[in-house]
Amino acid sequence: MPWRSARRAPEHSEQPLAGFKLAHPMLSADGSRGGFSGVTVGRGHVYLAVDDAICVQGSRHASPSKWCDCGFYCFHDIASARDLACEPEHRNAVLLEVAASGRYRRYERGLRYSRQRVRSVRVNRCDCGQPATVLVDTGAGSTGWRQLLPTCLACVGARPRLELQAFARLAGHCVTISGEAAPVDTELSGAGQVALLHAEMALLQARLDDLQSRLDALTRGGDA
Amino acid sequence: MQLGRKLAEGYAADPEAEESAPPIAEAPAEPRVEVETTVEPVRA
Repeated sequence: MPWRSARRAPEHSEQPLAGFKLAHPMLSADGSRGGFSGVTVGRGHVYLAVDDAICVQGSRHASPSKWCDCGFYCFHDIASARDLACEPEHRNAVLLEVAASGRYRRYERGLRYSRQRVRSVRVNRCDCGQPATVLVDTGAGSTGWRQLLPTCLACVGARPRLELQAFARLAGHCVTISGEAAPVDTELSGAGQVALLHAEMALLQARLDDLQSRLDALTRGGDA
Repeated sequence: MQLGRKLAEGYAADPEAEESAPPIAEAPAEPRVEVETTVEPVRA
């Protein structure tokens, strides 16, 4: 009986493979380019919207390598990336939709691959819960790059800001960027909005009652 | 990022990425090392 190898023939695709991942938006020190940094293995390395993987361990081998954990990473489905975003250290990361290409290694939940094209960037809400509409400097970064944080206009204060669309232009390569809609518009409808309006009316009524009682007290004091 | 068990290897093309990819820097050439050796005369 002839011996048969268990090794599978390599796959081949004429199209890039879709994937989802978390990243931190980055702005070059001179403000001329937008990029991204990883949240796990490649957190110290900044990549552009279209880029080739390098070994972040400093080796000169082609990436990804069988003997190393380097390379671009992504999940097959958006839910896995959103699950990872629940971890406290990843709350400020943005969600990327990417096209993975070049040499790749396919795993149960995702890919490790050599070339990446960022298609879209989805920005989380600001820490206050409102939709983030601008990016501000976090104070963190790496040599030549500042790490950015999605923020709403109310929380940005006097800090320098970068509009989301301006970041997309700096990233180039037709990258699109979007933020989450306002919570009231997306999550409440019908009965939910009626309940919210009732609660706001009750608050207004309580405030009016308080003002009326203070006015009465002042009026009585003036009469005395 | 935990991806689970490896299932396969492969190659995927992306014409859009290939058109706009940054130029790949050429690896610096290894310096040539020349070693001088003294050759002993062969005695018959």
